[in-house]
Amino acid sequence: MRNKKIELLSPAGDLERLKVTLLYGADAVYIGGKDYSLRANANNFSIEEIKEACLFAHKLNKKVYLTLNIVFHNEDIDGVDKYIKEVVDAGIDAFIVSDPFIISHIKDNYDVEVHLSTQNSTTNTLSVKYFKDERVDRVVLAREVSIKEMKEIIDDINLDIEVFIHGAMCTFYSGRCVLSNYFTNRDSNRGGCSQVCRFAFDIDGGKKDKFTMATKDLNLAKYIKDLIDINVRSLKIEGRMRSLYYLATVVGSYRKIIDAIYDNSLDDDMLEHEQKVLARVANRETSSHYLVKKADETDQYYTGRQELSNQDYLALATSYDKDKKILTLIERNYFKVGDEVELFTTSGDVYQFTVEKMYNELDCEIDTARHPEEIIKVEVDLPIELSPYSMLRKKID
Amino acid sequence: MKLVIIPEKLEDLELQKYDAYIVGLDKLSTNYCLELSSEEIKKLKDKYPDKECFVAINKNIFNDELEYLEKSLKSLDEIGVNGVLFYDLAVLYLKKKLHLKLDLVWNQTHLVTNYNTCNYYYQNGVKYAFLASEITLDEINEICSKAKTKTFALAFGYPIMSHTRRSLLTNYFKNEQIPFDGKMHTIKEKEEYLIKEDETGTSILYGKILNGVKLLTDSNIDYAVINLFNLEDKEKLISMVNDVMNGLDREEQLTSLIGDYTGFLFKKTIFKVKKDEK
Repeated sequence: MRNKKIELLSPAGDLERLKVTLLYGADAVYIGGKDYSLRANANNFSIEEIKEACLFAHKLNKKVYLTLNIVFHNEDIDGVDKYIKEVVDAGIDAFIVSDPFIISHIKDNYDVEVHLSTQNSTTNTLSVKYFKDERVDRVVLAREVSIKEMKEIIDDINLDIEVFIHGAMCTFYSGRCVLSNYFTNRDSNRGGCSQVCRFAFDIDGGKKDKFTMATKDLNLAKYIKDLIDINVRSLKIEGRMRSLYYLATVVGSYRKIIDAIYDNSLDDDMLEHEQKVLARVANRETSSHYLVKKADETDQYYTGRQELSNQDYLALATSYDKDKKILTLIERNYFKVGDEVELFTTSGDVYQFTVEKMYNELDCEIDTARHPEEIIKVEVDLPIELSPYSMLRKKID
Repeated sequence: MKLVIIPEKLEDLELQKYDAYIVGLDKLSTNYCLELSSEEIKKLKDKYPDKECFVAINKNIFNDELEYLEKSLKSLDEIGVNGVLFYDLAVLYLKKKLHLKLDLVWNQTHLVTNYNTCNYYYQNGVKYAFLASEITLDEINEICSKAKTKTFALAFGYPIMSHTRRSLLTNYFKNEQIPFDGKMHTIKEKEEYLIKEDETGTSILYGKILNGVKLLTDSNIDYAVINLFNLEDKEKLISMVNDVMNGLDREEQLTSLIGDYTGFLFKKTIFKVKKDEK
């Protein structure tokens, strides 16, 4: 195992998500700016917000990477250098880029890391070598690469390799799909993807179900030790448009798994529990896709959309009065007296309890919390100082 | 401007009035009806000496294919093909490492969209760029005027929309408990699309034939490509295209032969969606 601890890399669609993911244990976070990123319709970060993000992360000794991975058209080039300079000045640690012209431009003019985006669908040793020669500092491998191939690449080339471990999957090779362009006129390679791969189609010769190509999500939790053992440098979570709760949960679980591997405390029970936590926050089934075999019929859906709404997230905790034993919350989903719940914190601690008494903002006793954004106070004896962004969810066991 | 055909069958190469052809290389191509060995390509080159011969190596390449890739590139270099279309950067890496003389065509299907990147590849020894089908005629003309690479563009044929390593048809029919017949199928949402599967995975093509006659009359591309896959009246089409290239007006006849779908030549894509359009 390498001396340098593997990096846990999380997405963030805005400043609050960035703070949450870093507090929950991500070592680095990747974000999109207002331009040139493949999630054109996420909130994304202004230059001022990038500065704030970098300050926040660097104080924690963590890093911020910025996606600059659209497929550039002629019109996109004007202004890109000014933008790169502003972002470098804002303190960014690396750019995630797919276009080799942009890579060489950054490397010729700035002292900053460049990571090759998965948009380039890099699948073999020689392609990685090509980009190493182009001074790329890290390659994000295609999601079609197996762990055996990852090992071959890492063993052969002294270059940081990053792999996706969790989140939604593209059905098609990244960069090789423009269904969105043809169906909705939205440019998938410039951040406008309308997810046509999740539509359902009639097909000649079909009998029962409509034809769908939608994939299950990726979840490599049980392979993290294997990825550490082959010297992968960074483990990437997908989802710049995901919610605070999702990010806190997923980052928190992977943080625990990684830390437990490094201190030799990961056992089957713990892994099983964290898998349960990850499963509860997911809105689709998951699989390991190409990691240990070629993705097959078990990695797909056949009956249109299979997205489940998740109502485990009950409330965001805002304060805890130790003397009065009152936990103050902002409600997110319905819960009531008698429910078994758990408070989880940025340090990875989880406190399970039953809701026995709760009050509204006016301190009137209530038995249900039914209005999102409502202030709720729960009477509970907790042995903690509450950390920011602690959250309440249904008990998972 | 030269006319290039992508043959559907070997007999298509007997058609007259074209300047160049593109064939796939066995096991390293995707979406080429003719995927041939180096030996077979050499025979074609000898048989049609007045035609430029291009070979497409356009699949995503994995480690267990690199040895065969290197051997194939050396063979194609010896044969003296006019160019190799590539998707995977391993091809460019090997051209440099092995000091191969063969010319390359940057052919990353949907990614060839700006002149700066064309020029980047030109500086790295790539002579041609095969432009994406999802850019406008204005963008194509700007690339032609500012890029040092010579340009290819699909002018006629079914545009490809997506390619996956997954066996989507095999998987679907397995789930349906029907044996997959190995043939191309049609899927339909609001419109119809073509879907086909081979050893490299599954590809989806737009269901209408691109009629890029304006590329012949209003652009400065160097190579206009006709993909003959699934087309009828191929001889008639090539003859009309030649007429257009010779300054005759055949737009009406072309429209009646293949339809009036002009792809993105006059339609700019968007990518930032207003909140109420999400």
